[in-house]
Amino acid sequence: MRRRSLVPLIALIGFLAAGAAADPLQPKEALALLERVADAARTLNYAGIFVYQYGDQVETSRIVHYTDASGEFEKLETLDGPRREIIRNNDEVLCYYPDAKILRSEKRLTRRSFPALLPEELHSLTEVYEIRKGDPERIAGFNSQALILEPKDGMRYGHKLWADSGSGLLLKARMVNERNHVVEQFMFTQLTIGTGVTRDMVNPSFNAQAPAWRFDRFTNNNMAGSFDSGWVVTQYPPGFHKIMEMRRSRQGSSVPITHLVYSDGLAAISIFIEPAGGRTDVREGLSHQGAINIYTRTVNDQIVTVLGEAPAVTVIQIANAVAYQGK
Amino acid sequence: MERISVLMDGELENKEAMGEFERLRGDSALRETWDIYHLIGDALRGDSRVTAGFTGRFGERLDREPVVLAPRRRPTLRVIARAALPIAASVCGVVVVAWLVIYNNPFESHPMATAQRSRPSIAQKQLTAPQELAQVAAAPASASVNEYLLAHQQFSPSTAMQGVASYVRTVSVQESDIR
Amino acid sequence: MGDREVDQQLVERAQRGDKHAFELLVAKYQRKLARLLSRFIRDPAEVEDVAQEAFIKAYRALPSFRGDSAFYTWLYRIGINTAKNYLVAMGRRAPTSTEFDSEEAENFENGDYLRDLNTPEAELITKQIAATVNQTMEELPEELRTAITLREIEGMSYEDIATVMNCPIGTVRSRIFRARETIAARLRPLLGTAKDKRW
Repeated sequence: MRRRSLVPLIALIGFLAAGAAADPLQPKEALALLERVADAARTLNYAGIFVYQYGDQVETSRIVHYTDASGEFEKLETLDGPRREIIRNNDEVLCYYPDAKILRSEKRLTRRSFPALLPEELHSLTEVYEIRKGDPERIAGFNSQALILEPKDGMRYGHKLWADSGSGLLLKARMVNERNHVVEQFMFTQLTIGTGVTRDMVNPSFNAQAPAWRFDRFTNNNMAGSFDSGWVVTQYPPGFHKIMEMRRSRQGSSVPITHLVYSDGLAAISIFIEPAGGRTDVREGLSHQGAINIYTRTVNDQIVTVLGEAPAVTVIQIANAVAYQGK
Repeated sequence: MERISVLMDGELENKEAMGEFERLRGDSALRETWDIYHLIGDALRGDSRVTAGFTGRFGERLDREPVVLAPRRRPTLRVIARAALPIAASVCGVVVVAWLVIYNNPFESHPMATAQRSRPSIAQKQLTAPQELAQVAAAPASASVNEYLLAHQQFSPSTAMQGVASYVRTVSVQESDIR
Repeated sequence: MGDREVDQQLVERAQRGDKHAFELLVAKYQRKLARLLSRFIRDPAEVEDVAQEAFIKAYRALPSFRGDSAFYTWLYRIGINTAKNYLVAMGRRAPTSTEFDSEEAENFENGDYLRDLNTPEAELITKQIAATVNQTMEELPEELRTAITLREIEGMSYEDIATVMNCPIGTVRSRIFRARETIAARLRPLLGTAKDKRW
């Protein structure tokens, strides 16, 4: 079903009622705004407290972002519930679970972080989302501009982003489903940009040493060049493109796991395929982690898991379209 | 009601059938008739089982499910709606307001006015709780997908826009779930 | 519009967001599915749980249903898988694949599952429904009874019934409807007490 044809009706009624313009943005302008947000996240020093809501859960966390000549560093600490900490040092991400004494690490590929697509593929972002400006708001003491990205079909979530007018840093972000219920929301409640951020603020709080701590590394191989796993997705919603294909393995295991990533520029969907090999903990069907929907099915003794920040229908459709066409 | 009887036997002519589907959508008494006629058929064939409350319970569960939508690529209704707006807006406030009432758009900051026409129950939920956080109906993920979630996050455009803050998605998990 | 197209229409409407359309499919197939599941699951309460689960799974998987098989065939497979997973999760032996995948399971028509009804109330209502239907059938004018029997039990098309009863199709249509409505009128008070209220 076409996503609520009521929307343009309302937008124009809003226009009639309040006199505010709500025309769609030109693709160039929209993408320029998004790039500005991504640049700000990457290049500015900032520290603050934000609230993350999903479903009926609320979590508060602290985040610090620091850059200097030696690179880019970040630290995320959860302030509610069980302690969690995520440290990023350039291309390495470490997840600390201090209560369970587990450290998960992951090496990110160095590539352009945003947009996630090549310029010619970016055009599809504006084809599958209608992008327009929203009303300015004040968030965490900053004046923000709002950007609305409304999906043209029911296969992706709607997004509203509020960015600081001065620096472009993202202050608040909301994801909305086809029923216009909020699926997820990030919002800074306290924020300083530029000043007062030092290198020690991004150091880990925990000294994770074996044997007290357990290390889990999820490696990825094939860092350079393209890799053809033989797996394909035969059907996926408009606007999505394959942006990554790689092989991974778990710490201490030689079992190869294939990882594909599709993105429409705003939402990413990951597809993991690994041999079933007698695993008993596989939960088939639909599950979720916050706003991320996860769908698992078994195909010829392979476990296919599709997950991403998209509606359940999308991960299901993609999972059902995963097939092996290699040798 | 005779048309429902004919429809369920697969004997109603296409155009009339489409009309009946529309009527069924809006008329609960008609749906009840469909239900009871099927019960009669089953009873005649030897199965008159009534699991008391099955349809009721299932209906409630279905209400909680996110609406399933399959993609359609067609010229969008939206274009027509826009063109029609100048007329609609001037024709009567009632028509416009009746549409407004079911639409509490979290994208816009204006709260919507109430109207008199009654609408399907889903609409009521939207009205009473503006920007209500969605009930994600599916089950929570098991621990074994934690690695996947972590691996996925670096490719999510939200990470590009929010940095490591977006990883809070992957760590919002119960302690006991950690393998 | 044939029976299969009716199902297809309902599926398409459900795929476009019309949940009521899916409920109509549930109303149509709930007993048939329950009958299938009770081949493998004894307890009627569990049969209902698994049936609910199967319907929800079918609803969520609707986008992947393309209509190249009949809806019930697709639903049947989902029902089987749901029952299988349920039995495994309960630590019970999952029946062998021959039992599960047997085509004849689909055509299983016997009523011996009726023995195992759990609550006395459910059993009573079912008995009352069966009794009411039978009673009303006996009291129907002969041509109405014949028409509905040929349709529901013999599964004949209106055209064939018209031939057998030597009357116009319009008359067949009307006779079946009047038979149904007469029985329905007697059943409605009963169903009110069964708390099967949804509509």
